[in-house]
Amino acid sequence: MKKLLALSLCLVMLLSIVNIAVAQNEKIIIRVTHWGEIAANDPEKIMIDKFNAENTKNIEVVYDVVPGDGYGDRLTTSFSSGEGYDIFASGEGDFYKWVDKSLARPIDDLIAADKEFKNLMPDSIFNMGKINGQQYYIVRDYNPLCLWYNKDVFDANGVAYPTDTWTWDDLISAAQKLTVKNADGTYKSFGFNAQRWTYAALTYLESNGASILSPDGTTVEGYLNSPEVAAAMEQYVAMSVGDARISPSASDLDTFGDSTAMFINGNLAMTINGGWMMSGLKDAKSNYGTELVPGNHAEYLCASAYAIGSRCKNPEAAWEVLKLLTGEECTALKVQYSAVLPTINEQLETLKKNIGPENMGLIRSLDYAIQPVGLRSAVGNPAAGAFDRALERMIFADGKTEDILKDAVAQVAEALAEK
Amino acid sequence: MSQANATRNAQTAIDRRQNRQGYAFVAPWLIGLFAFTLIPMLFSAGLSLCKWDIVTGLRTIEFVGVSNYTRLFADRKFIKALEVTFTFCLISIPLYQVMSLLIAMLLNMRIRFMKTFRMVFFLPSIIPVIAASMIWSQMLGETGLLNQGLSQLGIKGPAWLNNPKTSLYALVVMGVWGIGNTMIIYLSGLQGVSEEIHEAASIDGANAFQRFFKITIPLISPTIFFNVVMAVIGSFQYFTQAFVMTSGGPLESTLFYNLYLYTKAYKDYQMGYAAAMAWVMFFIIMTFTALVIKSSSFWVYYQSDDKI
Repeated sequence: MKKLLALSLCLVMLLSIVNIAVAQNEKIIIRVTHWGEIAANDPEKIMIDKFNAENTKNIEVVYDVVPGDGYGDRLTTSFSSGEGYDIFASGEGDFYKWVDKSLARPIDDLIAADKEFKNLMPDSIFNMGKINGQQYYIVRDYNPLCLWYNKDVFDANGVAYPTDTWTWDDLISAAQKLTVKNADGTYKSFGFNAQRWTYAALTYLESNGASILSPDGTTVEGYLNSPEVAAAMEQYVAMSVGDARISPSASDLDTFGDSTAMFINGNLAMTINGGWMMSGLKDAKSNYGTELVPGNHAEYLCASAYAIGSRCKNPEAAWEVLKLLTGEECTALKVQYSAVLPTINEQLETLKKNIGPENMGLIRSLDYAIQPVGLRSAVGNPAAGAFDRALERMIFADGKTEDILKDAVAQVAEALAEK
Repeated sequence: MSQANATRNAQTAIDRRQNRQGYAFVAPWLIGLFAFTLIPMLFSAGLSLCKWDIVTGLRTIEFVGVSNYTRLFADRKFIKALEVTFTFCLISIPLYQVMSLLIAMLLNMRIRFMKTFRMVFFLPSIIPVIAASMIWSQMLGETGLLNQGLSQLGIKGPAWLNNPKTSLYALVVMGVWGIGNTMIIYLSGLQGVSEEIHEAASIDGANAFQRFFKITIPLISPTIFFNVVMAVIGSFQYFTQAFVMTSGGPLESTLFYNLYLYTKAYKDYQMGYAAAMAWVMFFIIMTFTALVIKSSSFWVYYQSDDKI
């Protein structure tokens, strides 16, 4: 009996030792996801493969790329299951949502604890990841908005190119000259595209010195329904209405194709748009230029960024991977293979020296980039939604502008009360 | 006596074995019914009394009583979604039935190439709804095929889907394209109407209208009844076309009930509220279906005794 007991104890000890050894060798798994498709030289895959092969930190990264259309559903399902990814990508439109639902983890503590970490990004890019004063996201790639103009249309009408001293009145005045009709009364070209897109309309407002949200982000009362916003929006909407319009209406866009197609075909002289236009214009060999947004030049920054999931069991390990995916080396690969704008200061300076003068307005816009209103506070998020609906109502003339904006304020209050 | 007992026992054993086999055969269906219908329905009923943000996981479910239901009637968008859905049903259900029946009657005639005609009219029904929606989005655009046709008549049509005044009606018109299934059921009903009765009525002096309303309609009334019930259920559940083509816009003019429900569930992640909406829709459909069934005793004629 004693022998049996001793044997059992030995066996238990042996198993414990084996178990400890296995546990010590057990790698920390960090699951990373973003949307898209893996290309031949996927920069993030290259970095992850290298990281996994070197394995100096006992971390194994599992890389899950989900095709764009299914990404939102996959992310939702993973969160619903109670797990979620350790690191996930998000577009700036959803930054606030994931924080609000406590699914993204603040990373200020990880940054503070990491003595080696140094922010190499411009403040406008790095601060995009801040929600309610806390850092949650690190930007993967971004696109500033700027004024794009078709030089051929300007030249054909003898109008001087936009400059960084332009006001919105200057733009409207030039757009009037650039809006040209054919002999049969149909439009040959429009001067400017006053888009239905909320970001474009809000960039117009903010660069005009108006805002729908108070500077501290606590209220829309007196901002969203202010006379300044109402007057500016009336002017914005009027650009695409009536026979004297200088911007294509929804019907015109339907006739000519989307605004990029119109721009390339010389049917549109100016538009506010993001850096994603660049590759299309280059491919079409379009004779274009970029300039700062008129007025005070404030413009919205569009970005995608990585966050560490709040359910991540190894945030320190995830932070190491997050640094890897947003760091200097990975960004350099992204610039090389994915033709995106670099997030790193030094690489941006190099780009400024090499990029053509036609794109300088785009790069300079970064200095005036501001966070979209929906990211700024708990009030900003419903304010952006209410403004979107108000813009649609204004375009379809569904009431007086003041009343529509008053309704929008009430809608924000309702959304906040619902919470 | 003992022999009788033995026989009874043997019979019971056979019965038990046959019962087991029977249960085994229906088990896949029963498992499916419980796993994919009954249990989710019960879960949904419970969920409609709770607040649950789907992305925060099951742990965050919070009981809120009937507040999801009371909130519904203060929700402007909910009222709008009901208005849009009822308007659509009111127009589309009678329109599609009349159109299907008329086409079925044409396809019931004895002329050459009838099989080809039948195939042509049924063909749109086998096109996936998403593909059909994309085609119609193009056709209903400002410079789409419809407006090009109208321009030949000197009419300048609007961007049908991009105008709050026309978008809902554009979807109704588009729906006519997909009435093939209803039409084929009417066709089979019409083919069941005996020619002798029509001939007898003709000899008795009944004209074409009288024969249609006094003979054809009563004889195919069970078919009409079936199609109307299916149409009521289908119309209230309208979703895909609006989701693909208009996303509920412009100005919420095509915000169908199920589209709003989907938005609440999968965009706003308000699962409890969405479940309450689903149950309200369940009772709306049940009420209207019950009304149709109840009214059937006044207008549905059964040749046999197989009444509902």
